[in-house]
Amino acid sequence: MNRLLCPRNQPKLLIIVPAYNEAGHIRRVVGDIRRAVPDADIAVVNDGSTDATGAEAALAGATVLDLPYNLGIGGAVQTGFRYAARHGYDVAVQIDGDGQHDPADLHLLLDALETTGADMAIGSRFLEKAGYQSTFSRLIGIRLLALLVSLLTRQKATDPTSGYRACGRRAIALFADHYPADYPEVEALALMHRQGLRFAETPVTMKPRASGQSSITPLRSAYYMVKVTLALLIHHRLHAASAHKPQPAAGVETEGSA
Amino acid sequence: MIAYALVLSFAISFGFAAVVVRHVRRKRMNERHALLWLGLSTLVMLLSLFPRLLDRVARLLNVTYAPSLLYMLAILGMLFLLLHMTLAVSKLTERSNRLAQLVAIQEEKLRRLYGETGSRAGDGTENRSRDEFGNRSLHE
Repeated sequence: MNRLLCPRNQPKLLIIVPAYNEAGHIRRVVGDIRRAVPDADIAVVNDGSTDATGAEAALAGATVLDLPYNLGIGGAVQTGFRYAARHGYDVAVQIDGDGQHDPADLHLLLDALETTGADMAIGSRFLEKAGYQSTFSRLIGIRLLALLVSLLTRQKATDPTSGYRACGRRAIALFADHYPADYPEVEALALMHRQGLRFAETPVTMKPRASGQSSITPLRSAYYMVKVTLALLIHHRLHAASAHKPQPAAGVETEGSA
Repeated sequence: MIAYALVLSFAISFGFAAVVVRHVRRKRMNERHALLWLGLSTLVMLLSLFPRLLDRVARLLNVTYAPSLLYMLAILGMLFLLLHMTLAVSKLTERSNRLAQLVAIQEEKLRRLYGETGSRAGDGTENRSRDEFGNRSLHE
């Protein structure tokens, strides 16, 4: 890559904010992040919004990656990872643009990433049962997926659907090339495991979303569960041989329950 | 009766092949996909011209009602084509996603470059030279 084209000094931390039609809130979200981590670069991935999300994010001082059309959450977040990989960021954190993730918890993720030496730190809302805990039916689904992910990756996962996560260099490189298209969070964990990368969880609190609609409506919940489960199992089956080998690294308890 | 049906099926598949060729000539369909459709219509044309071929194959496979073999072949052929199309669509989706992501990243880069030369030209050149020789000046 031509150094002339990235004249800034190499920053370390990139915050990826996927946003679709969040014009009313994106400025506040970017501002909150800026206050929590003043040194970080903030990349808002404008996922083909039909409102002024891109312009609002630019006004707030964020780097704006304008997708020419809507790719969905997976494609949007992957854009951020590609950007992070190209510009040599050490850590990339995904924070959703709907206000569910509290930027004040960012340092928890960064600390967890550093102290555990894992490739990804996941903010779990269930480790300390604080803050917004989601609805009952969703909790059942999340529990089931957590169980499945824990079994498949041989690592304890309590909140596999959490989108609040910090990725190290190896995870950034992996996700820049491969990232699931829709409902990517759970699959990404299995993908990491197959590539020999580890994740660690750390407790965070989440807020109910401030704006916009969840991408997972009740009607789509069934599809979500079936799709994610199938994807986990199909991909796992292909790599069953390697997964059955004892992997000392995967057995280590890396939960950041400090 | 049977002869009419055969003439009709020959005519239809011939017409179908002609349409496919036309689309290829006008560059509206690429040759790879056209070959699949042409193969399918050639098969139906052959069966229409030599109906006994179907009977013989049916007998070989212990199919008592020969036309049902034709149905089965047709359905299998279409399933194969659909699978092929689904794979093609998945590949195109993957490619267009990649392209969209690259466009977003390049556009941001361009904006940054032009923004610098436009409003803060001095800053821009300063940054560039510092970046290019950054290591050397650090050591000196």
